[in-house]
Amino acid sequence: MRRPGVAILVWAALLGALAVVLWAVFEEVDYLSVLMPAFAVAGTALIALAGWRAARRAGERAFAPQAVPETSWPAVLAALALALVLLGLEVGTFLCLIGAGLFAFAVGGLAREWRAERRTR
Amino acid sequence: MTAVGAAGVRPRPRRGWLGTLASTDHKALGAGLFTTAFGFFLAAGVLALLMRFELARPRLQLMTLHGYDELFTLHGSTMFYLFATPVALASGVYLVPLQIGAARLRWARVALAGWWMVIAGGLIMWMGFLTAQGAADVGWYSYWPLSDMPNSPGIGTDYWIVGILLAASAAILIAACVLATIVTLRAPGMTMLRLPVFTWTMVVTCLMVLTAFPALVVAMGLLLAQRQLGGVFSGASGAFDYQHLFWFFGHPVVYVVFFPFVGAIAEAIAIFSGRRWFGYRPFVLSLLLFAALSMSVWGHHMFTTSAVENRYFSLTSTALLVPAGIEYFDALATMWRGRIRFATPLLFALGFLVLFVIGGTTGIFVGSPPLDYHVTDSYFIVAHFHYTLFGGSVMGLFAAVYLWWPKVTGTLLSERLGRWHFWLTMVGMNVTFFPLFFLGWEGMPRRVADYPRSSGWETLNAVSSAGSALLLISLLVFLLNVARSLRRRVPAGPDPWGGQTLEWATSSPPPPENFPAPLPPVRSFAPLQDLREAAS
Repeated sequence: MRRPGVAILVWAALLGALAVVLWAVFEEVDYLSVLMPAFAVAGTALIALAGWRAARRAGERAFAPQAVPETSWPAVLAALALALVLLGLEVGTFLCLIGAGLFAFAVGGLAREWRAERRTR
Repeated sequence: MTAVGAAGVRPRPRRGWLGTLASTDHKALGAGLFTTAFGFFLAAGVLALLMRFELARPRLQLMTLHGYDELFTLHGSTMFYLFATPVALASGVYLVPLQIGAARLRWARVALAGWWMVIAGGLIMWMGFLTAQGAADVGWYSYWPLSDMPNSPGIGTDYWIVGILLAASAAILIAACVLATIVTLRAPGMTMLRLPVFTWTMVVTCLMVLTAFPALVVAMGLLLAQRQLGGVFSGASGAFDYQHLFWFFGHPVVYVVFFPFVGAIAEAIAIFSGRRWFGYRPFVLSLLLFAALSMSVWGHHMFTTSAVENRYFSLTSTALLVPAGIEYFDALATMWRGRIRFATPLLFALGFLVLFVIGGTTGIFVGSPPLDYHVTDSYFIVAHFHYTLFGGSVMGLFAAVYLWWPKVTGTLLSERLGRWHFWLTMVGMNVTFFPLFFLGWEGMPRRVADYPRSSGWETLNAVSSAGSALLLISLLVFLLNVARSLRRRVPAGPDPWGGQTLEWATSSPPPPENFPAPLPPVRSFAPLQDLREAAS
């Protein structure tokens, strides 16, 4: 269990084992009691796989020089724009549209930050 | 954009308070999220006090029945979605990179967006109070069909759903950042089985958020669609489907807001016992088992519906005793023959252990269906979960605050005020919540603003309300301590307690790059304790 992927897989296995006990031993199991644990196990297995790949790729790079933006207003704007879109579902379409526009603007800002970061690597 | 030096880190930032609001430094981000969550804690605490004052005597004194419904809905929702979950994740955002020897948080901009989603979600949720029909009044779990438009009209409930959607999505984003940091940015030598105990608790916390919170997002999305369009849930199976979805998130969240503080008290116990944490590997395994079991007990919230397999959920609920027992054993064994210093963080850690025993064992009690039938929806349940959430999470949170305050601010809190805070909290907590066990056992239902004079519940309710006033005083003492510390600024030094993990190897507060000097070698989960033992 020294590697992150293995630790996460152990957890997925424990989740899976408990779900199998529910499905196999007990009779009154509705479809959500099958689906939700199954999604959780599958999701955890995917996280383990992603973790395993990321850890392998990270290795040396983790401590290599990095350009990091000190502040990121586009990230803040993206969050607030998302909130406006959701609020617009209640208040009116106009707010959804404003939120979507701001979100697109924020994504543009994030892309610019990301490109600048890539250039300094 | 700031270029970085050879160590892969940025120079000291020159940002004012405005820059802090958009900072990608995990320390500013963690502190900001923590402060936001603590603000919501105070707001939800005010609602709790209003409810307790209303219940101090029979009849309605301060509010209407509907107003009371709004208060308990916003109290529970704020505590879970806007305080406890964000504060647990904020601890990880701040401390995990420091504990694993990293210079930064992975995907910091995603976490930054998450922080602002929590703020926006909270404001939208509370905006309901400004609407004509008031805020949401459907309880923190908003059972369908009670929460459907005909039964709960008004835009307040819709705002509440939008707020939860934002807060839950934020939690998922922030948890992904913390987990990715642990997976990819560990210092050389820091294998998974050398992660500090607190970081391990964050691993399982993040895993639970990533697997359980999507169920909440789905449940709230469907509920919003049901309220706007209809036809999503229908009949008895619709009600059960909603409950399944909700509780698949609703039980794990209790552990999401519990595990990080288990990690915090474990660190406090080890440091103030002068020993490394006992039984590290069994502890890690017990955490994984604890987390897996807690994802498998959601049906015990539905015992009385007859729609779940009660035997299975009773079995898994009772089995939670096993990993909990291992963790208690480890805590006691760490203190055994240790050089114990009863500083404030340890006092809160011991308070956590004592109070959580009551919360945990009454949890096993209600994990038995026949006993649950008797006390379901009564004040017994309110007492049980406040012993786990206040006795567990909040006591653990204060242990964490007193332990890491010097690291975060570079200043010391007053020990004398800390002790006052601890004892007032301990007494206030028990006076507030212990009478509720008796009230519940005698049949007082939860979520009522009024009760008959003939019920015989007056004295216990009055005692409980008096206890809540004590809790208010204890909180004021804490805030006074914080204000005094920030004003006097008594320097703490890099390691005022004799810490064991890497965060204590850097200055207080840590510089932007976290570790300007080379890290000490990492050969165990307590690298600074290794150095101390090697030197002695």
